[in-house]
Amino acid sequence: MFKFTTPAKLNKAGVIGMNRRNVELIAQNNPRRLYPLVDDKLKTKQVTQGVGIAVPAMIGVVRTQHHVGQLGEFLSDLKGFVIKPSKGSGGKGILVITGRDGEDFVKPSGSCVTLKELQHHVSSTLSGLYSLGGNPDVAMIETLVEFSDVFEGFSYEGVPDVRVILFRGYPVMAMTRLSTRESDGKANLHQGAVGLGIDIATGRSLKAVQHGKPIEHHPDTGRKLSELKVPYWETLLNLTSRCYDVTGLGYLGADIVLDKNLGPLLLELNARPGLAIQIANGMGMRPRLSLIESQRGIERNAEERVAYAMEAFG
Amino acid sequence: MKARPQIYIMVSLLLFIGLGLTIYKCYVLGFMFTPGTETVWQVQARMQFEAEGGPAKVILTMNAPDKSIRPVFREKFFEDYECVFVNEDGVRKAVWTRDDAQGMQVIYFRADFYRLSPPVEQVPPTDENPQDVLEGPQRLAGEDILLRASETATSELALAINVLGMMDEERNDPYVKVLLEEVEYRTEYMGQVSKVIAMEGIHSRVVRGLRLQGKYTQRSITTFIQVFAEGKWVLLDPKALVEIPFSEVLLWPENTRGLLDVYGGSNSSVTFSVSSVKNSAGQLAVDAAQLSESKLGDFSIYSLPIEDQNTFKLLLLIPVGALVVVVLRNLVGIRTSGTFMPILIALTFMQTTLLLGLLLFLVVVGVGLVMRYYLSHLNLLLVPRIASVLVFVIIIFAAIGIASHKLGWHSGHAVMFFPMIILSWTIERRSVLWEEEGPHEVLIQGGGSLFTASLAYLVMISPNLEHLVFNFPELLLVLLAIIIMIGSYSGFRLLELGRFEPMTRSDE
Repeated sequence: MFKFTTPAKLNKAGVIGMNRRNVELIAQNNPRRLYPLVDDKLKTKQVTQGVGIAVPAMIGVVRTQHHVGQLGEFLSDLKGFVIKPSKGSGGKGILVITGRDGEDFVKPSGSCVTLKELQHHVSSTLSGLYSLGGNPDVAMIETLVEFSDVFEGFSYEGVPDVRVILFRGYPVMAMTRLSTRESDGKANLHQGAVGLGIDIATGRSLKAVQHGKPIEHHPDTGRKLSELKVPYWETLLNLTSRCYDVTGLGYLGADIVLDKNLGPLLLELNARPGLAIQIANGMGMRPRLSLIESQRGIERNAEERVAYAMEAFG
Repeated sequence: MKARPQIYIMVSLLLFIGLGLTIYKCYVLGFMFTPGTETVWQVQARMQFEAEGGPAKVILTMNAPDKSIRPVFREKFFEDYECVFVNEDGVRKAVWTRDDAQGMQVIYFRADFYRLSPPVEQVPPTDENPQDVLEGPQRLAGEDILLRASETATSELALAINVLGMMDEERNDPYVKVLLEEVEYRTEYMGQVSKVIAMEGIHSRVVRGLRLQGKYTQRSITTFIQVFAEGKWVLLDPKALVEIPFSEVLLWPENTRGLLDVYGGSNSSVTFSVSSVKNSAGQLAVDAAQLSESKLGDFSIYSLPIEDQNTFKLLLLIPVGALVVVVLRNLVGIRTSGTFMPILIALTFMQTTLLLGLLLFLVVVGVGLVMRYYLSHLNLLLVPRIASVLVFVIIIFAAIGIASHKLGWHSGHAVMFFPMIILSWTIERRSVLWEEEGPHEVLIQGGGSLFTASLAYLVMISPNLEHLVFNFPELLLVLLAIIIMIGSYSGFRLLELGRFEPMTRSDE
């Protein structure tokens, strides 16, 4: 299990390590002053919506403890919605409600949450339990995405999102993380979720890995993983590429969900996207980054960048 | 990319200043790289004479200059005398003057010093053979003595020792008598010994000095003989007939007849007292630096009051702990909960010792987690919840303290050293982590934190390290340079070699 390789081999594979990501990619491409734009999901939503990037619709924002008391009334007509901390990280503090059971709220797992518990959750969010650095936060209430059924059978629980890494606005790698019974419905690769690399050119799955080992079928549903093809792929990439124009962040991770009716929706942006995407794609990111680096000085709009990337990384 | 050259310039500048100061302090000011005590010799000269009623001038010839000797204290004033130090042709002298001196005068002069290193090897004699000066009957007597001495001697040194012994003990031997005929003082027989062994081609010289050994008072200066044998000078004790290390003797320059010259007085004499104390090497280096009026020594932490020194000792260790954290996180890739929380835990371990500290930490956090688990059912707001955890932590502290006291197990009191606010947050964060990521992640991050804390502790308790940062605070600049270098390191972390290992498998 604990096998070690050499730095030379990793360099040959073009793998980017954590230190290189921090020193070269993030420090040199992501100016600090731009961070609040992506660390605060409320701001992200406002700026992306402003230029017409599709996002899940906002129902309301809970800004003060005073609002918490009014939640019962505010939510009384809603069947499904999502409550998330505006400055949360790593999916912490996100509460998904899919339906109602009398006065109670039903979670995707089927368990119920009382209004009191829901208010406590929101209240904790406001006092900063889930935010970076424990700072006071606001809670956003969004509509529930009606997930497209392309991922049917590909995931044990929940619906996967598509992660695209953009370098200077060019999509360089994409993947999706499929939860398994072993990962307890969570999408963390190190907890046993399946990482599925997606071909930038076509949106088809490239290869799948679980615990770093290649696999063919989903361990729980048995579905053949090579059959996955993300629809509206070019639209999806165009959407992510435009996020670069809005945020100005040179090294950016975009999480996209597919809505049955609305198509690709931007869920959130990440100024420090992780490196697991290399494992899911089975290749290092460095050659692709170098290629984009060589395109410096050539002016391209979002569609042109995506076209270039689909051509180059096919 | 412009940051790179800046980093290189900054790192080399920091290294240059930090290491430069360290080397300067070590080799010029005599600071020690390792902790320990040094023997400080306190030598006091007592000069006595009868003044004639007019101006008086007393000149004491001082010991020969010796690079290995580092003075830490020198008395400059004595009652009504003015004292100056002069250097005449490489011979150092202390001069006391007074305008009107009447009757019996006594002057005390004390100098404290320690030896930095063994004394420098003395230069070998330049001539091939020593001057052979004995003539007539003395030459015959010398030949006989050499013949008898060489019977049992196997080396030049043994021969010299034999001659020395015979000339001292067998005064009634007719040949020895011949040789010592013209010798006035008993101690001057060593000059004759020197002449006898010169006939065998052995270089030797008679020197005077003070034995630095034990404790004695009112002793006059001693005469030693130095023999050049097997390529180096050997100092011999004329009484015990054994070799003495040069470091145990304070030598006076050669060819100084009188130690003490007195003008305006008579019946002068000088005697010496020698004693020694053990002192911390660090303190001594600062004293020596201050005596030599070096500004660097004066800016040392030793110039602070003792209680402030102890605070600084702890403060100076924190950057070392920070370096351990930086190395483990950025070069090894260990995950810790809370960036510098491990340093605070390590500082606590310094009060409690490692195993006890680990045990107490696990008990407090474990019990805290159970209590926090109950709290999560009450749906409290964040700040009151952490405040409650804080109260729990203090109750656990008190419980451990009282229970251990009742059980007669006093080390339990050490629990008080834990930073309780930090512990409360640790418990809160781990509890949230447990709910969201599961116990596995809590174990990884908690284990990482404790491992880092333990390693930082082990580094920080090293007496050598404490000595280094305390005596060479400028090493912090070197530390800073290392941290900056690691900060710009873009290579792989050790654990990443395992994490990305699957990606290199297809190549094989």
